[in-house]
Amino acid sequence: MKKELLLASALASTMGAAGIAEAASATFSGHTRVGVEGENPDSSDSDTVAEKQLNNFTVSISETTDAGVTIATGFSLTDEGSAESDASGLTLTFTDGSSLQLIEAGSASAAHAVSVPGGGGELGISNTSTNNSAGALTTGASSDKVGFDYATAADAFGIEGFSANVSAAFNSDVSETSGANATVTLENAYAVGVTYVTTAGDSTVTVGAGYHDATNNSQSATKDNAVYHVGATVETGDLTVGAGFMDGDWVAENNQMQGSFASVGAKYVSGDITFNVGATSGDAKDEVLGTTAASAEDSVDVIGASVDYVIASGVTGTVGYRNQDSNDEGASVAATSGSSWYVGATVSF
Amino acid sequence: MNRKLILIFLLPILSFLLTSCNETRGIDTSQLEAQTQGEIIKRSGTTFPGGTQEEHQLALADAENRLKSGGGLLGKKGLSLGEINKSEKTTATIGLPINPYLWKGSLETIDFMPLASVDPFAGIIITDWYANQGAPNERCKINIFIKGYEMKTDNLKVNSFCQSLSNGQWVDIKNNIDNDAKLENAILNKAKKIRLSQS
Repeated sequence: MKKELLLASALASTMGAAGIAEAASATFSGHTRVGVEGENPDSSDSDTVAEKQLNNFTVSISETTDAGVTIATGFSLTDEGSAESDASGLTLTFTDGSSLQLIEAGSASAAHAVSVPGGGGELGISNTSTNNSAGALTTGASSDKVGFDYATAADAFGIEGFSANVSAAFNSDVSETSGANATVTLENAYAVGVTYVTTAGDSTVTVGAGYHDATNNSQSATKDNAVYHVGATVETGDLTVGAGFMDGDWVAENNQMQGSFASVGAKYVSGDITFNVGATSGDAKDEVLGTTAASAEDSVDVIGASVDYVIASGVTGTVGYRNQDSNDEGASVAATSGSSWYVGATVSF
Repeated sequence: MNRKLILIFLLPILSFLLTSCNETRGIDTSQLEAQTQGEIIKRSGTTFPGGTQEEHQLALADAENRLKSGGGLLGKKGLSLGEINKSEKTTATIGLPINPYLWKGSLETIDFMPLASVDPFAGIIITDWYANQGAPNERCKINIFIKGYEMKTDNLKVNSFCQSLSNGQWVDIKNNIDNDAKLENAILNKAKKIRLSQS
């Protein structure tokens, strides 16, 4: 309601004014991913097999005002190895289709990263903590949670197929730190992302790009977060192919990195079955803050494939396989290289 | 720094080049499904919150499964808590050119006052004079106008008129606009509560 209920009204209270109504509508949803994963590292002749049980439960609350603006918030309960509860801030969706995220704003850059097909499933040998290779197109696109993210409506600025986001997060009052053992905290962050979707013959072409910049509180760091990504997908009938590339500097924990990530893949949908195949390559030169940079790189190269089968609405079975090569400071690490497989199901509700 | 400068110029240039090669002119671009992570999350109807990179990836995983499998077990956007108690109860609206919730909300809000005139087709409620026992030297009457079918504040107007007793004569008091707005709010909230109870 546009007009706010003021309970202090003498006349209204005399007349037994109504209390505040239940203003918002709520929905709950979530998913559970259950399966078995096997790993066969190059350092060992014996395989390991373990269960994977990952659960999420989300409550979403929203309401639309008389003026047509939708106000949404919510929270999720997550059990993905470590229990976590997380709120979603506020999202305002306007009548023209544009939206404004507040508090949990995230990065405008990440929303415009293309979704490159690749092998799915909850699989993969965990890397050592000293391997700081870039692992996604959105690597380095981190920010403090106090901020906003504005998304334009479709066909922004009168350009058909064009949309954009701009975001900013503010955290400038953090105490400065120095030295190799001090964990870095991000301060102010700014990001922009753009998407352009068009057609080429019978194909739909999506091009996405973004840039993210963030400062930090470490006096020892010689790098701030400055990462960009660009990518494209082409969808022709049931076949989708895509490629993406990310490059830049970023900080995490007490390290600063300079690296890149590339991803290519394809998927083919045949009825209820989806075939996925993809390859990724990530690298980084990592340095502990305040120390001299090493010349050797960390890297992780992955090739994977999977088959998804839609069992019912919201239920998908997945069989996946992945092979990875991991290098730390230029040297191959057998314990984190090797193959893995996964058989499981995702149930969304 | 050089990389930043290059990028700052690169993004607009890239956008310009793509726009120049725009093949979508004359095509309904709303039918095109962009394959960016943000659009996939938006299109799927997932309610998973974004924010951090981990949350973003989680929302993307849920979104891809929903798009692949046609939604979730409980529908595309999960289960609305309001639907649990959903019944066939409806408000009679046949013949009424005004919002039925605002109408019922108005009547319930002022149900302690005597009514002088009521016209549901014109959306007019006029009360008789009413004096509170706590203030017998003051009386008020209220005119309520419901002006349309949509449940919005613009379709509701309340005017109150009050008088005070002075030397045995009822004398008009200056209209209090704040009280009118507070009454409108009370009616709007009552109407909303009725709507929610019947949805």
